[in-house]
Amino acid sequence: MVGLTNFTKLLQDKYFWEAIQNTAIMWLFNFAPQLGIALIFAIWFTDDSLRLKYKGVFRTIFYLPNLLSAASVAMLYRSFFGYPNGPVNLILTKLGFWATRVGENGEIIKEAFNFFRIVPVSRGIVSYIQWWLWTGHTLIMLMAGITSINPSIFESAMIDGTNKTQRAWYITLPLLRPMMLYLLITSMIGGMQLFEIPFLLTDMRGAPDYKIRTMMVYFYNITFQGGNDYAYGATISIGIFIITILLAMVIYLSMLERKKDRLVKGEGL
Amino acid sequence: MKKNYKMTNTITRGLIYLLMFVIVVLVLVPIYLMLINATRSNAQINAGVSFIPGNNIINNWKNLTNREFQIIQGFKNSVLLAVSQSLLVIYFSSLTAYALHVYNFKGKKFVWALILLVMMLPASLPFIGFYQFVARMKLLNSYIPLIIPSIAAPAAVFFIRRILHQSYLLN
Repeated sequence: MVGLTNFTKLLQDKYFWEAIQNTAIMWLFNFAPQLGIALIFAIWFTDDSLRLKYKGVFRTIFYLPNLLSAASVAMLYRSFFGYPNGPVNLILTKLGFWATRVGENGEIIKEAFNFFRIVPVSRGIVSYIQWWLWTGHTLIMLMAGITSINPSIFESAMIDGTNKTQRAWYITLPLLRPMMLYLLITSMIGGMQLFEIPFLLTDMRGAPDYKIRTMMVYFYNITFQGGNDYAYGATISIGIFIITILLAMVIYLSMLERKKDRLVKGEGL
Repeated sequence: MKKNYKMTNTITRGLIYLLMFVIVVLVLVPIYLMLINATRSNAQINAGVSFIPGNNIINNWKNLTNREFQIIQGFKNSVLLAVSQSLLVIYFSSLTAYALHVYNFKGKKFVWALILLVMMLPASLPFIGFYQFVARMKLLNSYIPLIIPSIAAPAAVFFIRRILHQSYLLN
């Protein structure tokens, strides 16, 4: 069976499984805070009783990172967390934070942090950049979703004597579900294809220790670097596709189960 | 009671403004540093961070324009592609999403599933096939293969249909 060799190879490829794990971890740590913070801000900004000013300015500023190209953002953060003279390191050393290591003679050496040698920090930086890029976008989407909810629902709830938390929890959130489903699906698809930032942030192979190598970076490494193995690269693409579809199915089914108690029509995927 | 309510409101507002300020700083500082770095030389950038513009901007600009890279032409290409793609995406995706939302027809579910499926394809998967397809149509070295495919933009259809679900309730 010539045709299936690549697929059996893919299933046994421990680097591919590791890439799946890396992608999932970095996407989760980006998406959860992204949705949470955007949701809180969207609820605050659509609450007229708070009388917040500068909402428009804030929204515009928060959206700015999304206008930069991902490649320049990756280079920007690479120098931002640079070793040993990046801005973050300079600020940390001024505040008195040093990385320590034990020298050859047992003495303790203080030095700047080499962020891209520490696995959790590198992954955190990738997630943070994704958060930084996309939260403004999510905020705008959620605000659009909330403002399109019929205001008479809120009015009648207010007359019934609900407080703000109850209104947010029992009215805004359930009625926002179509928008959140959209954000979840698109973010998941984008997250599974995360490429530029982990690719350009370190050595284009997902250093440290291949721990920020996402599936797309692995695909690129196989296809266009080193061996130029187009056939196996295509197989990896198919693998990514299958994983994305499976995840979408899981999201869709979990939404189906809640169909019984939903309030509005038109939630089907 | 009323005074108390006003007090908590002021405190909440203050906390929200503080959080907004923190986020604005987080967003703007890296962008500002990038702009500043554009005015500094490599040696200065390696020496450390600075919030004051350097004096190397003319040199940097020369480095950018003196070589093979034609920035004006690149900008023109980007504008042409962005404008035409946006127009096509908005027009055709709205039509598709409206039809899918408002009308009931045979095969609607199938069409919708197909759109979702295409959306989930990794961007790298169709590259080689698409190149061969375009080459056989003798359309290489033109803008057409970059512009025309945006007629079919599954992500935009998905987005507009979500918006319709949210805001345009039937009956």
